[in-house]
Amino acid sequence: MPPLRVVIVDDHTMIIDTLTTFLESAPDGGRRIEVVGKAGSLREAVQVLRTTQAHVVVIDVGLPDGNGINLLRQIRTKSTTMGLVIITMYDDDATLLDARDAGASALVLKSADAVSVLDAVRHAAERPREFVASGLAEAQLRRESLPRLSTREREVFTLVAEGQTVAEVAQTLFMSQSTVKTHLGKVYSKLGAHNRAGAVMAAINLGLIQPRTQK
Amino acid sequence: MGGQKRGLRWTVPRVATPEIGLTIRLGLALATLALGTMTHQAFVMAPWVLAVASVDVLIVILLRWRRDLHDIWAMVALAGLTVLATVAMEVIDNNNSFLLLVIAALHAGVRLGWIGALVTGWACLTTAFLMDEFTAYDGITGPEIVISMIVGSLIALIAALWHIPAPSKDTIAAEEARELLIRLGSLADSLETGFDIPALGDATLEEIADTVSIERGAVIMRNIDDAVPVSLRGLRRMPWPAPSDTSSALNRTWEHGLPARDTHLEGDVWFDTLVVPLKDAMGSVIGLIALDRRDEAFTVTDQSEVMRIAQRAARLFEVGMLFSRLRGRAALEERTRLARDMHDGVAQELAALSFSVDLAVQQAPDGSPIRASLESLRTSMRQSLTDIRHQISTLQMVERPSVSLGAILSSTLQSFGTQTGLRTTMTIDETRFRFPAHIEVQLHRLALDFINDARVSGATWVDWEISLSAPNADLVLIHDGDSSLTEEFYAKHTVTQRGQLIVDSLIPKGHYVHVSLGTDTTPEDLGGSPFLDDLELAEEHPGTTIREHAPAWSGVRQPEREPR
Repeated sequence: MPPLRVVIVDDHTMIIDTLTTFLESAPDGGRRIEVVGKAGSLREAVQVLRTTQAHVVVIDVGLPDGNGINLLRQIRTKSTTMGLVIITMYDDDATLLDARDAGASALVLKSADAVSVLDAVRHAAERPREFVASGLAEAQLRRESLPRLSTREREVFTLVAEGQTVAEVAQTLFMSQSTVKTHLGKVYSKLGAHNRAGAVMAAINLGLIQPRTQK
Repeated sequence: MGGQKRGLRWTVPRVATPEIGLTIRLGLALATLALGTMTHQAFVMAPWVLAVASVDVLIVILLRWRRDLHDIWAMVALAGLTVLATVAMEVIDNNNSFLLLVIAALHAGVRLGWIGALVTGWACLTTAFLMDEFTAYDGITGPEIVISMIVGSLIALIAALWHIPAPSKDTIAAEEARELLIRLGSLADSLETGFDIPALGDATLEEIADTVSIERGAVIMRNIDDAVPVSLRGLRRMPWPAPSDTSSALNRTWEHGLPARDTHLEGDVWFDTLVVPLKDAMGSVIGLIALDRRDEAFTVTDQSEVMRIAQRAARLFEVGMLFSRLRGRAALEERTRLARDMHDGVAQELAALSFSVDLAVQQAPDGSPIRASLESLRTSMRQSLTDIRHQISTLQMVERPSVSLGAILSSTLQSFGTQTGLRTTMTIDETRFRFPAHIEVQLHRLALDFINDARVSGATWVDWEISLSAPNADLVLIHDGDSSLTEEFYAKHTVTQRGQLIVDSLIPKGHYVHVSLGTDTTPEDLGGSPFLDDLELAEEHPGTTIREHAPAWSGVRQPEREPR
């Protein structure tokens, strides 16, 4: 059987090198793996994928020139058979469910052992459209339990969470202050919060909004 | 190399800015005038010299004042200057007037670089040619026009060596910020209380007490929607409901910026209250001063006096808040940088090393001691990686103005429980009175040290009881680990010096920390502290339980909420 051709996209050379060594020396008698391409950025990845006929691509989320999940989404629109594995340091629900929705085959945390990465790569090669990840069911459950904010409520609340006052939000969104307060009241109610601080914290915890500094 | 650089320094353009080049150009204008005087043409030349020098200065001022103007406007202005100088040469009909063209060329070169040479040459040639053809002035004709154009362009090219590209918007903003910060520093030095808001609050209350008879007073600043008592006089806790509460005596002033005189009952004693707003330069309410006394109502005169003091102090409070925001922003940026560095550096390297250890584990013989050691090492590394991720998320999340301390502590403990699998419980009672940012930071640091101790001391559960209502706070932190931390360790935290601290061990093992801020009451003595015998343990399951004031969403992640 020909070897499984893998491309690794990660901006950390150490991660690429150790994963390459581990995958290529996988001892368990499964299909042999050959790392045929390495890239440290989205731009490099696009070039590498043009020249290598990869079966599986392992992609880091945080890349210097963009988000690895966007790259994955692009690849999935071009190929439905390529195995796509997300490898990340973040274990939040948003990353996990984004990866699934973008068409990933698997998601593995960098804190997991290397065997998990190996398993994910093999799974991705065999069932590229079947997403597997640790904690997926719980994350899905949490997502389904999330309060649903309307578009306007989300707009208002995002600005409020960024520190804008009611007057500033009203000015930005061209609405009256009382309308802003009404939207905010509904958001507080949906989030079960009593004040702005509680609502912001709840929204961050639930992944409804992202802290601005989070990569 | 250094010596060479020093020796060659004279070749480096010294004229750092067009403004310094202006001195040279004004010198040339004076020289032109002097030559005109020597050739008895001073009266003919003076208006033109004055015109060229004035336009030159005006261009400098305009381009310095409006740095955001596009280069095209600088080109138009300098072409105009060259046209003026060429017209002067044509009208004066005197070789000395060539210096005026030199002025224009120098300015164009310094300001526009090599493009300045093109602008000078083109403007000179066109103007001279048109004047020669269509007017009676013929100061320079034929070959002189071409020579003037070439020499003018060459001078502009030489001046281009001194050219400094137009600064980017970021550079301009940075330069402006630099000037402002330097000015800010000198202003802070000149103010009696600097930008220290609590000190300013104390000074304001002191001044009010000297003017009007008061028993108690507080300066409360606005932090988005929350009220932050920054200075108190005769008070240990806030006697009024939060200003955002419509039943509060402070609400009218807080919401509408209007002074208010009222009475309120505390126990069985009636207090007369006077509340005046602190407004910023735009008229927005940034805080308020609340005063009260018994027996005698505040008069209109009292109100006027307090308003006068408040108005004067408001500007200083505003500056203090702006400065505090600036510091907060700097701290936030620093934490973000640290989080990024940790994520991109040590966390990634640790992850890579863990993968290497996995490889080594696979290559080690089954059941061998080395394999066991490697597996143990791998477990430790995974734990360290988890800790680092926890620290990164803490750095990214905490201490934002819009997030209250209670929410931060709740999030911290939840995150800790999720990542470590320890059972965590928390009771929190928080009002809308918040602490100043630095106190919140110190309390949070203490809590972080406590949970870190819980992890390393082998605890299986952590329990927090927290009550926050600035200026009062009560934190009871307990875990069942075998801690070696003593009171001395916690005493190093500055915040414990502001209140009372009890650190104790539980039987048979456990760690108890009680921090109390802003109250006269001593924390419960040891007899009242929750020794393990008295502790009621919840069911053995991991997760965070928030027993009071828990927002509904907390149940999503931690469904096992239980009332206490």
